[in-house]
Amino acid sequence: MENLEALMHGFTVALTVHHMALMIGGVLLGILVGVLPGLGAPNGVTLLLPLTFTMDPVSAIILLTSTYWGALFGGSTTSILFNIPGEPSSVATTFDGHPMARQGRAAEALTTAFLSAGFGALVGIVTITLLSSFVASFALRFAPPEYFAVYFLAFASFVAFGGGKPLKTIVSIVTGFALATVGMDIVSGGMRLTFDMPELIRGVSFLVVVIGLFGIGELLLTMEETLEFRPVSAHLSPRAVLQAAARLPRYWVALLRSAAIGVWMGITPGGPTAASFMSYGIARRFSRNGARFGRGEPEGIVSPETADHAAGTAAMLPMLALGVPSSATAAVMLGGLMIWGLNPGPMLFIEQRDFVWGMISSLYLSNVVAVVLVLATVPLFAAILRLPFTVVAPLIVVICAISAWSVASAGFDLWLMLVFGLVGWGMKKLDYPIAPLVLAMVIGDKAEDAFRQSMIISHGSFGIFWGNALVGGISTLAILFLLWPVVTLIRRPARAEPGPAEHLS
Amino acid sequence: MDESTEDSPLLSRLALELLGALVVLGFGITVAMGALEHPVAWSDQGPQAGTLPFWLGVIAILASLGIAGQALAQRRVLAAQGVLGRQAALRIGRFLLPIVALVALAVPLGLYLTMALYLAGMLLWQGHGWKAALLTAAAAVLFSWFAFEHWFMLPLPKGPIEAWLGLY
Amino acid sequence: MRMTIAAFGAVLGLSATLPAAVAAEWKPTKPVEFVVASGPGGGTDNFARTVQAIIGKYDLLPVSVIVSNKGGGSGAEGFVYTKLAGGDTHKLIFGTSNEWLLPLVSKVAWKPEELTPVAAMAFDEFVLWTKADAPYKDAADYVKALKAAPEGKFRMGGAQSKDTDQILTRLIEKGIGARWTYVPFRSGGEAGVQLAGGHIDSNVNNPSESLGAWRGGQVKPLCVFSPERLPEGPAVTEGKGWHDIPTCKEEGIPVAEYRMPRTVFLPPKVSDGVREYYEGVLRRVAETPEWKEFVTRTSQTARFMDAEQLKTFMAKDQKSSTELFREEGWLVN
Repeated sequence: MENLEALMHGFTVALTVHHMALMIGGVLLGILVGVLPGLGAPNGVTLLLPLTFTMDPVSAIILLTSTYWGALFGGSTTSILFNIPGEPSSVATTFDGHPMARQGRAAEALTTAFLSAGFGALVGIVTITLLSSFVASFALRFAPPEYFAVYFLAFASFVAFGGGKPLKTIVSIVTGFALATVGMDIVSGGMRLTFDMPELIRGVSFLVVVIGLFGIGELLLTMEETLEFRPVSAHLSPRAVLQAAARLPRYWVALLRSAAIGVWMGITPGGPTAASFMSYGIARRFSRNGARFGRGEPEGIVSPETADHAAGTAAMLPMLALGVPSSATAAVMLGGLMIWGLNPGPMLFIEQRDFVWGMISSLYLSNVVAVVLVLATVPLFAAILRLPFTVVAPLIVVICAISAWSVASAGFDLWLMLVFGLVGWGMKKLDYPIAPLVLAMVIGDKAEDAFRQSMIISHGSFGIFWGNALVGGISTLAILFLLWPVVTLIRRPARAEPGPAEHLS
Repeated sequence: MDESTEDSPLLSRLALELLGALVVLGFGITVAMGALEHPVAWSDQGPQAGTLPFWLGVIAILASLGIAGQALAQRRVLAAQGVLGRQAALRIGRFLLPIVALVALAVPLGLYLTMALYLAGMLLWQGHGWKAALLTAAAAVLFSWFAFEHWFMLPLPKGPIEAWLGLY
Repeated sequence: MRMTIAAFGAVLGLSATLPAAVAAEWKPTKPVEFVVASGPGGGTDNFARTVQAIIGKYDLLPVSVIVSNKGGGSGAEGFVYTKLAGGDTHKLIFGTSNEWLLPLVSKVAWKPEELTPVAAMAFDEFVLWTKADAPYKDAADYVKALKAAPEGKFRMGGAQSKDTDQILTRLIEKGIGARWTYVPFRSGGEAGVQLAGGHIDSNVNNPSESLGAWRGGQVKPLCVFSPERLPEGPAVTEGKGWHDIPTCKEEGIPVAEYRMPRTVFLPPKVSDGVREYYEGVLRRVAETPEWKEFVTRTSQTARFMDAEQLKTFMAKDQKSSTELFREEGWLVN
């Protein structure tokens, strides 16, 4: 209970008018950068960093974390409304969020997303509060084999519970992994698959691929129907928000399960993006509504959003206690800590109690502020959908182009976006699932690095993946998940692959 | 009125499946060839730099052949399924070509001018009138100018217009 | 502008170091881009952003500064970008020795001599670290244990492959005649956590990368790869400070000096006047109290090298690295 006392002390540090104003400003700016994909949270936080040089560390971290929340929420907004994931971790939100928006349920989808994200973040913060000392030492137990096992588990649980045509799923996975290998290979120090093209040295940007596959690809599919497509008028009244909020407790199983997955992936090195995919995959398999996933099922929003934010929050702890950033945004914040004269590490919790607990308590506050502010923007965003599609579509194209450019300030990325737009259209037309490609791209290079580091350590022996109880347990679970389709096949040999699951792309 | 049912077919499912398999095949060959610049064997240090990409390429090649085989096995059924009609193709083309122009001109002309031209052009073409077209284009340019050049300090590509105006 | 610079120069008491007349010959006319050859948050990023902050504070440039991270391919992205911007007088790239090391070990689209050296502003030190509860009381003890064990039993972690950490590891190995299993990680920070968790036996992190873990009692320094001990300073932990770390030479490891410069380059085909202008600006940055504070806080060594000195340093380091890489079979060309 020592932690609770510290937390109460933290609230006295964080709860000032000045800090609340910083939170509101940070959240609003975050929503703006989050809505413009490609800009995203890392950029938003980087932009604010020079401003914080003159602040005291508590105010500075409050401003940065609030921006981070705002950006995460903004990222979900574009996922749902335009099928463009503003943040890598909101890709899985498009699967059911965008279909709901197309059915005129944008307000419901947005409200569901924000509230479950808020719930996930709260669970993450509570975990930090109660388990801070345990989590830090737990994270230290992760060596390359454990890293690999965690990525493997996330991948197995998403892909194996997917369904879809096996050969086409394989093509999708292989493509994602291959794209992830482009560029510098840290284990050998060589350039791979760059074909001597300077533009490929930095690798193929995940965000550019996603903007093409989802944003442009979706527009092309819509165009094929007709340019005159008008979305069904969305319910804009605050009542729609309240109704969606009232329905949320019904998904308590999904909320709790996803929060648990998120916290697990946050304190292990899995990260928010992998967490959201894993949570979606497991929900699709084990939920009663699983068959409706991919066609506008609220639980398909609840699961990834809760896990995403729970993981993002829980990951703050290893970051502070060990000094290892879990994401690009965390890396910027860590740089900030150094500039403010603080050293991340185990002593931070002992020497800088005001800072650490002020920050943790500000996470509670800024999270609530972010949910309230972002809910207030729902009618505004839903109103955008009422514009004629002939105006919205070109605007989306421009947003996609700006986003693709701002990832690396390179004209080449615009062409890449266009190519992946066509690829996305073709994949949808031919029922190639897109999600496995995206997930493979997110965890592909990290998983390969961890695997090769493990092999270097073990001098080529696979025994290292069962070297202790922790890694052995995760590896075994991952293999069980991977074999799940085979198990179900043996149990029900007569029935063919069920139809609905194939609709997921 | 549902246009797509009356649309005369341009591309059958079979043709598109085979085209898709061909693209995958090309991708697989490219990846496998690229990987061969590095050692692809399995050493006592585990997989080497080229190992993973090489086998990914090989798997893609095999999968593409499998997909093509499956498609050919059901060619009667698939050939009868239309996936893209003439009208639909025309609509996609009309939407896609302006995007190609936007992408091609963004760097030489600057993204601001290009996006203004693109937005105004698209809106006019869809019959929204001059006022709406100019208003949308101007609003988009002004917003992105302030957002990117000033708040975010993340410059977008600029071209002769900005130089002529002395803004850059 | 000249007056402002002179005024600030006088304030800082450094008007003598650079005649203001040089600055008057050429001046930037639009925002200057600081290209960072690393992702956000890394050592190089902090370096560039600190310079940016100091320039802003003392108004050392008449235009604004935009920082852009181009850290793809271990920084190769940034160097290629700078190379392709030949003749552009409004771009500076911030990097390390990777400007000349990367082209040796991987196929990249620039040659070390193509970019225009401007200055090196500080040197980052390397320290040999082990886990705090490891049974070695000093570096000599550790080396003895390493030599006694079968080859490859001990693991050395480091950032990237064929980069400074692995080069230094090879230099030590050659000096003492024993081998580690070198495990490359994404960053020094990651190698630090792996050491704290006991998954590797040692690493050669920069001081700032392991400061937190040292204070937290997770790792301990054995020796520093510099010719003399680090300067006196406040104690870091339990009465021990940076100055108390013996040099590796004292400990019998025959690698007297290994340091990483923090370098700044201009694109190719830039005139001497422009180069001198930026050299002057950076020199003034290096003389501000803020810069000295930054260098001390990150336990780097402040030493300003102008373009000529940097060129000489490059040539020397390139030559010795090429020899080492040839023996190891790392050279790509």
